[in-house]
Amino acid sequence: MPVIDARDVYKTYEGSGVPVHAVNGISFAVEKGEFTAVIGPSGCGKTTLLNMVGGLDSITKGEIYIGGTQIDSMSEAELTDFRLKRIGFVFQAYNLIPVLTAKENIEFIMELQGIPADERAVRSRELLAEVGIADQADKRPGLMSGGQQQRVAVARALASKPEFVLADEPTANLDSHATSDLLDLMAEMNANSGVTFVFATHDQRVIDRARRVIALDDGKIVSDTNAG
Amino acid sequence: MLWTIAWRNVWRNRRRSALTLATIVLAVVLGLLMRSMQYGQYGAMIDSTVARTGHVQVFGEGYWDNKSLDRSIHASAETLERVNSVAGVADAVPRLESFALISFGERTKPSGVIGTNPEIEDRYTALAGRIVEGRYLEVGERGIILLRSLASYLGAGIGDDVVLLGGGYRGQTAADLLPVVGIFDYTLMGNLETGLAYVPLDAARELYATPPDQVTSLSVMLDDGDAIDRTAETLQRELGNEFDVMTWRETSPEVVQGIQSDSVGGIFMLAILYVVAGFGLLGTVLMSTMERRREFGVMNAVGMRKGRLAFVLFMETLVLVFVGVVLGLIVSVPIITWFHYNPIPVTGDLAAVFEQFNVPPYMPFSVDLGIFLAQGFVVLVMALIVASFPIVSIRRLHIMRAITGR
Ligand SMILES: Nc1ncnc2c1ncn2[C@@H]1O[C@H](COP(=O)(O)OP(=O)(O)OP(=O)(O)O)[C@@H](O)[C@H]1O
Ligand SMILES: [Mg+2]
Repeated sequence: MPVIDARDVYKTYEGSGVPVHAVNGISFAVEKGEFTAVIGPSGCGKTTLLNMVGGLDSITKGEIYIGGTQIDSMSEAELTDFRLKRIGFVFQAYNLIPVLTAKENIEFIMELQGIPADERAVRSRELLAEVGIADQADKRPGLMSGGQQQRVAVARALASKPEFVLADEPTANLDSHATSDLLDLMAEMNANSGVTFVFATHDQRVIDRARRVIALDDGKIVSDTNAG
Repeated sequence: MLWTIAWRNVWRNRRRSALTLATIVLAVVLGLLMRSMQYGQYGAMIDSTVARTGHVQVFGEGYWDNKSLDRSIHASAETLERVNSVAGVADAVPRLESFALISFGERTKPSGVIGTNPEIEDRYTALAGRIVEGRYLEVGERGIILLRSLASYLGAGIGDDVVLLGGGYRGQTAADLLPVVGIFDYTLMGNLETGLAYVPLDAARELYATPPDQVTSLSVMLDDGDAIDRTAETLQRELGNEFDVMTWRETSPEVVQGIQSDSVGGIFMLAILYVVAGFGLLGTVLMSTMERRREFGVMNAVGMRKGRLAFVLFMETLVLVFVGVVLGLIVSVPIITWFHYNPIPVTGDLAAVFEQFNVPPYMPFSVDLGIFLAQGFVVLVMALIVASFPIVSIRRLHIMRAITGR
């Protein structure tokens, strides 16, 4: 069973003036263990597609199944719980909670899941070590570099042991050094632990590392290639 | 962790939080001090009124509308016993009062002449303490004490015999000659045109030619000033229709009105105070909600339900208000308690006004729990209203718009 199964999905922004057909009939599936990049020119609908798959935005038409569960008809609260348990997110602008330390940012997710404190402490240490910033555990995001913050974000995304991680332009705010470090990290997690990653990106370095590349244009898939 | 987030957010904007807190503390302190002072004042006014009239007064039927000696009542030992046996009655002060012309030498002045039991009278109105010359009345004696302004108008001094002349019981003539034993100073409301004099009860009965045991009123003192209406009803039922039982609120409506209109002014001030504080709080809450919109978007995205998010925000506001109220109490309770036991003396013109209303020239502060509860309730309502605003904005929160700041 694919972890992501999108069937003929549409998204139209009504807003003011002319409706924008941001996603225009997309079907695709992602299997467990994939390392996939969604690419395409600015405005082609990458973010919109990822948001719908991640249950962050409503779907105008079509069906989306995550691990076999249909999410497009869920209530807001159900969807929130679903995201908590099944999906990890990495955002372009890191988006950590500024008043919490690195460790607390990771534990926050686990607390929402109802994981007991001692287990949270152990697991957050493990995760921080895994992303290579164990020494930053008690720093708040404001005192960390972009690369470090994005590592915390990756650790946070993995805290709930999700079925896959969605990362919208995770490297856009990073310099090339930090970008390749982060990519090494995610590729390693993918290879060693089988964590599924789906990126939306412009970044050639990300595209180079991806094993599957889905290209969009005008809200439609124009190519879907496996790089092997 | 949610509390950690809330707590650190308070500290993130230290100055704003402190300012908001200060606003709440100030509102609570000012509100409490003002109300406590007002209620203390009202209490003193009521006390002085009740000292004169009793909590409840018993008259003959129709006496209040037509204060004639003919409507006086026979306060036999049995009647007094019936009054005293009603639950909650502490004491009954019998008085027989009417008007007479008091003359000395060439001068005459119409005056209220009140027959009273000197002992019981002093217990409630502290009349003996008002004596400025001579001495106070003794039970059963034939003697009179005059209001200072009356005595000086007449030119009468201690030991002089004054002539009393007027209408007595059932068309008889009231006429007597009594020696002045003392002069008192006691300003009653609006009692400046006429004189005032006290005599012992039996001397008054002789003067007005009434039967023994006759009184125009029984001023009933209660153990509990809050049980007035209930006790008045019981008394009326117990005594029957030949008697009219009235509460001090009915016999002194001017005091009730004075308190009410003053209290309305106070409530208006309070309303302004709390509206100002409320908007201050609202500003802080809205600003901090807006500033943290992105954060809320992220929290919601990674799996925190909106309901929970809204609850945390709601509690943040309540905690802020709660801390403000506690600080406000810490500041105001000692002040109020201090001034309750050490009332501020009033001097000058204000003291004269107090004196005119027969209120001791002090600003007493009330420690009535009701004041604190009422303020607490008002603050709670304000906090609940203000705390609801973030709930609305959380409900409307759109994750992606919040995160991207669109
Ligand atoms: N909230 C919105 N309201 C209206 N139109 C929107 C909204 N979000 C996106 N769009 C429009 O939908 C289309 C797809 O946008 P989307 O953000 O998905 O593109 P993208 O591929 O992620 O672009 P970029 O590479 O610049 O991030 C664009 O034309 C965009 O203007
Ligand atoms: Mg995008």
